[in-house]
Amino acid sequence: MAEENTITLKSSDGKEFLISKKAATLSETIKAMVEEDNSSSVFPLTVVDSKTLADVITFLNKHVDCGDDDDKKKSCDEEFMAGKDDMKDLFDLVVAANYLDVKDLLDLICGKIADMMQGKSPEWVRKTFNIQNDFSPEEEAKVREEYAWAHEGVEED
Amino acid sequence: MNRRFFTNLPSEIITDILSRLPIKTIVSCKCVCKSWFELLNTPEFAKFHLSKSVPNLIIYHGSAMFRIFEFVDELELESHELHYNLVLEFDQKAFISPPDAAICMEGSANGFLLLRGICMKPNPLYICNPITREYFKLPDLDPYRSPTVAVYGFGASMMSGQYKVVRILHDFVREPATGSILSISKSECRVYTLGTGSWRSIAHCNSYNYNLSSTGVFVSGNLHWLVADLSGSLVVSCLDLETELFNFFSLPPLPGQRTFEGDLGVSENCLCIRDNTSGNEMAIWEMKEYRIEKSWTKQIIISKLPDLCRYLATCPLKLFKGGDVLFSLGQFFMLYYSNKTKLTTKIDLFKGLPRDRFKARLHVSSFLSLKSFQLETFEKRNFEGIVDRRLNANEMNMEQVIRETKVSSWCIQEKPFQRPMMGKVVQMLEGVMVIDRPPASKAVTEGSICGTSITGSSISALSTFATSMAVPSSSSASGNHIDRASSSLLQEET
Repeated sequence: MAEENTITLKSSDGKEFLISKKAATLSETIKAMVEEDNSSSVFPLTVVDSKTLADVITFLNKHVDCGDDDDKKKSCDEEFMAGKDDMKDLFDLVVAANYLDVKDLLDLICGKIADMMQGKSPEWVRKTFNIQNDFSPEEEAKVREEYAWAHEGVEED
Repeated sequence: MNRRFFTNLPSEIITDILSRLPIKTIVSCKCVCKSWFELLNTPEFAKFHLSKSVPNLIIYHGSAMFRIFEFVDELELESHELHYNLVLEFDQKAFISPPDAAICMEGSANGFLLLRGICMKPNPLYICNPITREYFKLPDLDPYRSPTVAVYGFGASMMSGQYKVVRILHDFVREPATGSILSISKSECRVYTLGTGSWRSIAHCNSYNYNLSSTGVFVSGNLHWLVADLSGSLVVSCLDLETELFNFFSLPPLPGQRTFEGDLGVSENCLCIRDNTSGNEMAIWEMKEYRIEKSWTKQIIISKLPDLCRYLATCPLKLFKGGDVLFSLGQFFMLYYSNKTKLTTKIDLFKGLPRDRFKARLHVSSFLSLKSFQLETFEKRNFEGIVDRRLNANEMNMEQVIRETKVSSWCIQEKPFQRPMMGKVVQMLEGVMVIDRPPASKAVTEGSICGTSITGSSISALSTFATSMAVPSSSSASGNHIDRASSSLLQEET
């Protein structure tokens, strides 16, 4: 029965997505939800918006198709990540992957964010991640001085 | 979603992301904000980072300069020259005295390097972490003279995670006429476990001849040296750092003469040996299954460069995924062999430095702090070093910190009868009672598992202790106090 093998995931903005149970339960969080509540077929995910959820579902479906083939997974992941370089989208995905407990996706996105940060200056990091610099100028100067070698030859932007 | 996004990520995810960055970027990220600074300084971060790190290349250049390179290891690389990512270079003058001492790298484990000064007698031994810039000097051993052979090794034991420095020393009795070795004399093996403050002798097999220039190769919790028996046949001497027992196993069937020309190395967690017996080729053998003598496999054969034939190659430094090999030739050349083109090319990692001899080895970089070895920190009388740096130095009473450190060392003595009674502890803490210098404690060593876990928490326990016990009225800790306390420590030592 098709219905028994699929479930519906509902995003925070109310959109519904149909997904196979097999793909959905690659998420440990959804797996636990399904095991706990066998009777329902709609599962609301209050912290994941529709855009992000669509991405996550694409990822899960691809990974179910790959099975245990690591090479295939790798090329799928590359395809999935192509063009994903907006930090806001990556952030939404990493939060969703963490919440839904999808280890492979979390790993992939963390790796991507790290790649983008490589060799960047603290100013770039603050600006890109919108982090408030809470050091006083004296404190920051002290930390910089202590690790002066790490600040040579970094890209400023 | 919240614009202040990164700040709201759970710290595990921030740790996960930051631990993937190159060493240099991680360090520069310390000044992004206070919470990152704190996160990046925790032992937990250091441990997590270590669990993911891959070996780097560390090179000691004759001009007293160390350089650490990170590899880019991908398939189908056209050239390796551009793919070394320079992490840092630092000058030994920053921490070794005398500053121009020639240094030999004698081992590396979890980010710690064992360095030996080779000009002074006795040779001073240092443990240092080039990333955190921390170091300490080990207690001196008795000096020895040539022709006595001394070899060293450094590694971490498999189960208890203790860091151990090993020195094997021996002499020869020679046949006066021919000079051939009749027997090995005055053979000894000494072990220093980081955190204990003293060297111990261990049982050691005295019928093998160690090669002066060899350094213990660390694989699977054991140290290995290539040794010759009295008939000149080569075998591998293997010291289990956990049990401190030696055993010996055989080499692959190398053709021709067996001399110390070949040397041991490690590649992808396998013990390997370079077979240099042929004039125009070099073969690399790997022990595919550890300690299974039948599993020695001839892995790679490299043609030697005609113009560099006269140099002896050292063991391969790194085998890349695509079958390429990085190795050093003599003390001046770094080469890589391309599996695709079967060609060997020289590479230059020393741009901007005068041509000089160098030594290279693999080294995993880590942020593990040497402060977890309380005893050495204690020996150095660097009491400030063991206090949590986040505490305000002006609000701390250093005298009290020293007192508490001594009391806690007494309380963790291995033998129960050595530990003080509670009433005595209170008197010691109150300063009513003079505290003797605590003996080197085994518990301190055991606390240093993986450098962080247990001592990590005991250090923070110490520092919270110091905060809660700080007496406002006497909070003017001055250098004088420390000096006085440490000189009294010195006196107690004698």
